[in-house]
Amino acid sequence: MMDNSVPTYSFGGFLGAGKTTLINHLLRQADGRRFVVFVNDFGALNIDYDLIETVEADRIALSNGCVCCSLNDDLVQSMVEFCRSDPPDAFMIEASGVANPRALDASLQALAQAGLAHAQSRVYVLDADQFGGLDYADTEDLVDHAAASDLVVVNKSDLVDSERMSEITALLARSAPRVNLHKTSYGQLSFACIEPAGLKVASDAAPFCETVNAEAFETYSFDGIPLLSQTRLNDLADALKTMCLRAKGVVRLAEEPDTAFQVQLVGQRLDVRPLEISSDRSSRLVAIGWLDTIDPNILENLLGIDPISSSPHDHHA
Amino acid sequence: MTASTLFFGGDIVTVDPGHPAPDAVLVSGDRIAHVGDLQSARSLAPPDTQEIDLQGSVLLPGLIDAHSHPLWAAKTRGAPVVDVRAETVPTFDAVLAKIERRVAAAQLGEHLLFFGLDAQLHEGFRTLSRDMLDALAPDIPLGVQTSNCHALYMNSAGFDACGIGPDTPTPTGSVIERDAKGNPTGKIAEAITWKAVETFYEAWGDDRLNSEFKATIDAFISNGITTTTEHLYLPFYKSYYLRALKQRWPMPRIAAYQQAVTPDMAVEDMNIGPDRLWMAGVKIHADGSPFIGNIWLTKPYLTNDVTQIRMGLAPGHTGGTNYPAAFFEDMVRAYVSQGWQMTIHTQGDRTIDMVLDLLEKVLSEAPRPDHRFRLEHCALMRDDQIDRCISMGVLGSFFINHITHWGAPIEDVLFGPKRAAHYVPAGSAAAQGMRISLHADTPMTDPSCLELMQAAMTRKTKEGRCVGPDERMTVEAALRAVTIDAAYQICKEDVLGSITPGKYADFAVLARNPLSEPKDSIAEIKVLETWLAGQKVWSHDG
Repeated sequence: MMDNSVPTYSFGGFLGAGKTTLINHLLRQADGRRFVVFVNDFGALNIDYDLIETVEADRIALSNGCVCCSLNDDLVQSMVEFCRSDPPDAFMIEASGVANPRALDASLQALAQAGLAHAQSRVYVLDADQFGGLDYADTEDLVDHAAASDLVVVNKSDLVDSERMSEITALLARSAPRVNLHKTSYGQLSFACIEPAGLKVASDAAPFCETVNAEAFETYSFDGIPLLSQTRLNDLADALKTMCLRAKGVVRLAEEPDTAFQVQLVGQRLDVRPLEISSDRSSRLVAIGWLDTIDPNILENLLGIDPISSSPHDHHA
Repeated sequence: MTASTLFFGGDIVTVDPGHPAPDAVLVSGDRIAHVGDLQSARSLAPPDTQEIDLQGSVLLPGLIDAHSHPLWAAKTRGAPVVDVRAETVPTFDAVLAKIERRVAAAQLGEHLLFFGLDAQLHEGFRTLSRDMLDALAPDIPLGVQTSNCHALYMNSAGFDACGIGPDTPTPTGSVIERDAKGNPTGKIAEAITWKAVETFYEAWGDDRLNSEFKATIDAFISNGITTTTEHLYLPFYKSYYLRALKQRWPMPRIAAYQQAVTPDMAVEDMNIGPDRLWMAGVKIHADGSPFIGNIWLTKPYLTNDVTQIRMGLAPGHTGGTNYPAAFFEDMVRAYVSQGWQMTIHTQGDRTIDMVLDLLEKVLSEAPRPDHRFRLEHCALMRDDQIDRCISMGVLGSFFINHITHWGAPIEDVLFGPKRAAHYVPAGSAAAQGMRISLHADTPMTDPSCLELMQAAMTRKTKEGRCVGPDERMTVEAALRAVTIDAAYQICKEDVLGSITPGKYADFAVLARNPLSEPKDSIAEIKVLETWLAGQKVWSHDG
């Protein structure tokens, strides 16, 4: 019976920790497998438009067979329906509301008894940058939740310095000694890390597993950008949102050539604001995106430049 | 005018053989008026009766946990107490780390209390000493209570705050561990523990307690529990209960069992509500917790690192009782002679022998029919003791969650497979005809009668190991142990525990029928609504 039971991965974490981003990234590693994911807001999933087959009110079907569903009260019922009609290779579920990675245990136990699905790994996503800014009680909630999970993904590791990161990992090594730790940026985690074979045993003395998954994404930098029209900037913004995880740079507008504007893209949020002090008159942009989605040619066209330097290199320092 | 409600449209599990499988239940005011077929119920219903179509959900009598501590649970586990139970904080070192972080965040003068240290479940457990805790927190009172509630470790500021020093005599029934000069070395156990933690609770004030009490009440009522007990009731608890009733909190009915530590305590005969809070009897600890070695056994604990190093027991440890035999006898005689129902905390088999011997003597001198003398928890009750209890009319209330939470260490390191096979022998007792009850002993484990049923029916630990398959109960017996037989044990079977005309209209509405549910998922059945005295007091949908 267990042979047909669908492995189920649950994802907990504070609001904004990067659960959806992580799931989004794992979804891209389907590689022939059929995943069904449940997330609070599938609008937040950064799905390629050409991958989308159908969109319904609570469901997006992808051309690779994967399905994204919005999480609601009928989670168990929805899972049962998938299992009975066309069992996927795995479920991935973003735990809603409370961040406790065990919040779904009871539901999954019922499914396990029915032989339909079983809990595989409880993943807890922790925002490295936010972690230090929380008060005592919130920090403790987070530590308790981390300890109750199977693996902790310390996300946004690029936003903290190495000293701070060591503090976080030391704290977790002591207070959540039985979980596996992965450091990531932008939820860049290999699917193999969350599979049972990727988990080290609980008693492992050094459960820390460094994840550098640089080959999955690339960084392009663009220099010598000419003045851009407002329309061109808008088009650029749309393109960046579609194909990039993160972008940062300084550009100047034809309408206002003396003002330097800082461009920042974090997830789906693009921020363009004038820089108060700018001695440097050059315009440049660094864009980071998944290997299979970022297209430097499109960006070059939009920026109106020939690539002066556009060489892939690892994002991780 | 009395409000009437008619339930129909789903299974109705009455737990009353006189009314098996009815179609409808008519409620008038706070009582059940009629149980039978829908047509006759409708013909009896007044015109303005509210009809409730269960739509396939299941109506049960309100569930009863026959041994609990709702107010004490709010004190013991409610904020600002820091939860360090092994299910939250996995290892001893993680407990220390949590204590360090809390101390770092503490204000001067703050009282810090941690709950849930566990010699069996915390990997790497070491006994805490006063010196260790002084190093962690030199300036503020700090206490760490064990998960079984029976012991407390404190730093020097904690001992000072509680007024326990080298000159403090050890009260009868308590333990203060001391060095050669009589200075407390860090650990206290049994009754003095519960007195000491009150110092912390008092420092935090009543606002905190009231809000935590409300949360605890919600935890019971949202699990369909409409009646429970306050074992270890103390007279000053009354004002908190009265406030809860006055504020119309959906408080379960409370059978209070006042804690006796001396033979000369006054026990108030009260019944408020009616039947919302009443004095049901007296509770005495004959022994303590198996998890700290404070129980009396005919055969010793196993000898291994857990019992010797973590628990600090000598090889061949057989424990003892909390009180000297004569003192204990004085207490029992005092409250039996006042006519109170007695509930005696007994874990070790030798303790049970002692208590049954005493009761036999007392009853032979002054026979008392229908005394309903209760033994609480009954961890190592032997088969011959079950027979003896039944012949004497003594009832067992079984702490079945020991199996769920501590089943593995009970079998592996405390008592071995042979004793584990009949540890908390609820199945044998029920099968032999004892009217047993099951309990969660909240705050030790969380309130849920469905969890109790599942634990008694499966005997499975959290890890999925079955400990004592011969002691597994049938679903019918397990259900009786959290309804009608639990009502019998608190002497309220005339008004509680089944869906029977004339009884209080207390119900739990469940999503599925536990009688037909696979036994491994009974605890997962959703409680949809809770009704108390004819009123819906809780609904899953808010």
